[in-house]
Amino acid sequence: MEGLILFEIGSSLRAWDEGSKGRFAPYIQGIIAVIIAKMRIPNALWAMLARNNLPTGVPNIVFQDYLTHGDSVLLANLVHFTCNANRFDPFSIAVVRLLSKFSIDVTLLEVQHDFCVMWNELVQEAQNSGEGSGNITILLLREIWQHYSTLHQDADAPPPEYLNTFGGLSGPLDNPSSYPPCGVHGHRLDPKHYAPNVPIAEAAWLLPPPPAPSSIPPFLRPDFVSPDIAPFSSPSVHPGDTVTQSADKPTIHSMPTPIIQSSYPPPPAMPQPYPNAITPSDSPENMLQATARCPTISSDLDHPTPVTISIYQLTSPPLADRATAAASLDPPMIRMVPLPPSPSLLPSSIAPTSSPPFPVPLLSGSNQAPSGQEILISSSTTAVPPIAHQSSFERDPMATSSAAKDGTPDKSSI
Amino acid sequence: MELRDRQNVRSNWLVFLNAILEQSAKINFHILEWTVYDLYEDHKLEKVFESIPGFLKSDKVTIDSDQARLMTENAMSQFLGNTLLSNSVPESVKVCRLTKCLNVAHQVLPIPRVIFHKLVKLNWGGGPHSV
Repeated sequence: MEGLILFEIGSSLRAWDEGSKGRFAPYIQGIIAVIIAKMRIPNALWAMLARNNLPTGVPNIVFQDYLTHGDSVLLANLVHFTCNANRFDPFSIAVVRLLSKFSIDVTLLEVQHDFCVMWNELVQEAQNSGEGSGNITILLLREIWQHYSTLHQDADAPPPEYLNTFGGLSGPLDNPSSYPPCGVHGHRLDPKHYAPNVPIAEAAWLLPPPPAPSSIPPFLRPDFVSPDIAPFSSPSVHPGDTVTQSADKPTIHSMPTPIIQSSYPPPPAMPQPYPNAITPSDSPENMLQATARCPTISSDLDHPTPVTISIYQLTSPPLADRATAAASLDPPMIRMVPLPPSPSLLPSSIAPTSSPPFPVPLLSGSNQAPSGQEILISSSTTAVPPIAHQSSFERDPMATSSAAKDGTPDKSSI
Repeated sequence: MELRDRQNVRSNWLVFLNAILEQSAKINFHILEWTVYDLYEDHKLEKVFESIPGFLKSDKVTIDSDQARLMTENAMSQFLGNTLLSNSVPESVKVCRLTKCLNVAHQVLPIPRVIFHKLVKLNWGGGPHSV
């Protein structure tokens, strides 16, 4: 069969597998892996089929390296299938037997190291399961033993107690203790980067290097804090520390009255799964203390990127529409409370031409809202409409923790 | 008719009915088997395979399901092997039949192992690249 039909068959098999929700994924992967291993003429379609059968995390540049180094693709194919092979189905043995027919000595060192890691895991698995019970794992080891033996000739040879005078295994092939683990330090990766059923592409050596800090915009760095404000939940806060705020910066104590108040009664008390969790009835001081008590309450709390957004930004321009819509709700879910009057700090040339139905604070020239009218929200929540955000805050007590992160003051204390 | 006679008739009737159903199941299985193995035209066989899931699920058909499934799987794997290795079958037809057979197998069998084994052992490209 030629490359095109094989590629089409492989693609249709993969599509069928996706259609069956991956129910037969190990089998389909095995069939495609065998097609790849058996195609006589490697061409572009073959490469595409092989690329698609490897984990998606393998970068293209790495795969191109495979292509130019002997049978590296076939070795990667074998390693990937064997790692995910069903240890209880003889199908795996049939596939591995067919996949292992290539020359391993002209393959990339990195893929060879992957092979050694996989080998060690199989050996450990076989020895843990004991003689006779881990039959398929032992049979898998037997199928790939030749490759292991080829890789560990000369200086990398396994301990002599494993080998007979002819270089073969000294013990019976169905005995797990006959198979030596790879003891060469350079052949093993850090196990935390490599585990069973983890695609080989997730091994550390395949991951692209992290970008240089200078190439990351300042506002995307995890330690970025807006110069306008003090962080409420600094990652440097540790249990027992005293949280202090500078006097010239807005603090949670100087927060204004919430602009939007809910007409819902406070939610009933719910059992707290976490003793240090913030409750809706917590005062701002308690919220701060709770944040200090439990700085890892969520992952994004560690690296907050607060930005200053005025109420005007949150509610304008469709503020009047939203007020109308909120008023028309039956029963009214959210009651809009007018803002206190505030002097306009913007030049008249950029002030709104049509005045809103109630006074709205405007942005100052320094991108700061007037004192007492700004709130802190996480940059990731700026897209959330404030009304909906407020509503879910009221109904979901667990949302208070995120509110504490955002710096939104507690409504129950007001 | 006395009560005992009626009971005798009833038990005999049940035995008779079971015998008919058993025979019917065997006859149905043989009909399916003859149909599958005696058809030499591939496109007709393809149609038969497509109708098998409905045939096996029908309430009106009594058949030994396990036996029928095994037979169907074997027949389909043989059919697929012949189709995929054939030089006279167009490539698009090969892909189409492969998908159809897998769909049938997916409906009839929990895991179509025989078909998967057949596909693995097929002579896809003639051999490995090296060695």
